[in-house]
Amino acid sequence: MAETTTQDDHEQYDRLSNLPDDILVLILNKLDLLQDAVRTTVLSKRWRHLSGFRSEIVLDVLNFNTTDYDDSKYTIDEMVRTNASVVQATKTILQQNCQHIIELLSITFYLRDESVGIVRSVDETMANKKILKAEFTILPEVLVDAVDCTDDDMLACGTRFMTLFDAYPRAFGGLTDLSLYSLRLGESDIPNVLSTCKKLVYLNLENCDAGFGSILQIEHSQLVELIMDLCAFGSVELKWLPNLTYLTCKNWLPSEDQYPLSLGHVPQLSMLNLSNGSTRAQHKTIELSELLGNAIIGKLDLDFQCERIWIQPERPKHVALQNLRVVTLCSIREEYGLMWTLFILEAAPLLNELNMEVSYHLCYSDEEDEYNYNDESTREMYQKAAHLLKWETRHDFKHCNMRNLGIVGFQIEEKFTRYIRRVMQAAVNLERVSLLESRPCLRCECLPSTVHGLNRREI
Amino acid sequence: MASAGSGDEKAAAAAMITLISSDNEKFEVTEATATLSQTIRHMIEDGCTDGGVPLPNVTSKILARVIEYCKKHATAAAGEEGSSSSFSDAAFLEVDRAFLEELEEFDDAFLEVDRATLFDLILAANYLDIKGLLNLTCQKVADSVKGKTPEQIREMYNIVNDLTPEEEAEIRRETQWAFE
Repeated sequence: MAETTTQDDHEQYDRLSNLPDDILVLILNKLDLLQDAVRTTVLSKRWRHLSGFRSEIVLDVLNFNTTDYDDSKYTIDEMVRTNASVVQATKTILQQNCQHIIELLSITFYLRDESVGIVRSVDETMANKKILKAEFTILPEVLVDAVDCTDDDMLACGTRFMTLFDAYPRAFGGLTDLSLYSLRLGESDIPNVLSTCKKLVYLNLENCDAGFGSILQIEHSQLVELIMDLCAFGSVELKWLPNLTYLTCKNWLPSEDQYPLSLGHVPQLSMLNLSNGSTRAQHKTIELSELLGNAIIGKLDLDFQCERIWIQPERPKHVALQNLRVVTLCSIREEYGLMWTLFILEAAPLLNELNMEVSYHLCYSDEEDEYNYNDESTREMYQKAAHLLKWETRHDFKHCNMRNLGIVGFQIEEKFTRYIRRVMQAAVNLERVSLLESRPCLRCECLPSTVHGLNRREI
Repeated sequence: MASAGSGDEKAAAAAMITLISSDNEKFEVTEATATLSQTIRHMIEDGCTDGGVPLPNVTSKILARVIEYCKKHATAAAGEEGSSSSFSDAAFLEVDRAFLEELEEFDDAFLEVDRATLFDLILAANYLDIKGLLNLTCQKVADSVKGKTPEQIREMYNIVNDLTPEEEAEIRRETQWAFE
């Protein structure tokens, strides 16, 4: 053993290459960046084939950049070059991989014509290997934010995506995770894609639709998590999703008479996350019991993005909120009171934790927004809206299960003290009230967060 | 005799295990500490630890370090089981976080060793089948080659390049994207 050699020998002796294969493969598996692992193939004969034993393959086009993605110098040329590298890398990596089972294959690439090479390589691999977790993240080619994407861009992207999809449906059929951006697809495309992607457990759609205001109907036996952000569907009907557990819907299309979601058979749904900014009354106010229907959830996150509260407080009448344990309310405008949130306590007897974040949103004033935060009429409008959001709780109302109340953006003023006193009076088993000052505003990025920590003040 | 197990030995005497290094040094450790090693766990389950467990592949110097690691992490594991913290409970999260930070600091300090010791630890962790220690030490090696060129890695670890220039050129051609 090496331990018996002298110190001098240690210096010259290649102990790394003499480690057993499985340890060297373990070390290679710990290199997050595939390039680092692949570069070891030229070290010596010993190393040449080792990286082929990696069980996790993660290729991300953004890791191939020499320029930062956010950098203005980032050009189409750079995009073409990096995407071509991913095509080449996917091909060689998958050809050289000698594992029968690949634990993770995750590829992030641009929606470009040459990307068909990636899908082809994955398709061939799926035919003769078992891939436990297979992910595609397909980025739009356009270098603009989703909101700036034109209809033509979206249509072109949609057509290009369907070309990739139709070329190698088997590759898509083996995927467990799929993230798509800025696609306008045909009416039957999404249902077709979902019926082909039988193994899908995670689907993330950002700025995708089947035409402005279109209706999407989803049925899928495996899907566990569904995220939709900035999707211009009129409504998404979750008809039959027996395994759906996590559902996120953000920035939905304004509609005065329609909810963004219609929940059908979703017996496993336990976490719902809704996030939307509604300036005027253009979004229908949501009655949770009506939205949830027969779904019984345990965790609810609502983010009002410092805009109108689009939830209607309601008397407990349905079972939908009976199982609710944790509720988080983010970015509540300061004009709003907090008493209305007591309806959640009344409707959810098992509630354990209620967190909220009151936002003051101080840096809004220099935004090029259609309205100014400090504008009198804007303030007035919200004050009026706040007035409408009245809620009276029975004076003898008691809640036995609530343990934690968390408020971020706390200030020493009557609104808060009165509210906290009211909650403490009702929640007879309350154990902790945590009050935190406002989080620093990161240039109006209202950070939805459920993690609280520092500066806890016990009462 | 190394004083690996001090404290209330009497109370825990029944659960003590003796480990014997390659240079015949004896280490007394609690069963909770010893069973972080799957190899030793199986030996205990098979009832073949009476009279001590000989570890002919591990020197006393390395075994002492391995035991130091296992003691710390056995306490950590016990702590985790003790607090039946629910995921969303902020207070428990804080406690866990402080605890994890301390453990991380321990791990970082633990890895401050010369390269020869690091390789010895890897081999010991592999032989004794201590997953946490193996992951920790292998991560250290992985981190050391991150972002390095093949030439730098060869120099760092005294790796002799026995590929012919033609072979090396061919591999580089196939994997050009990794060198950009």
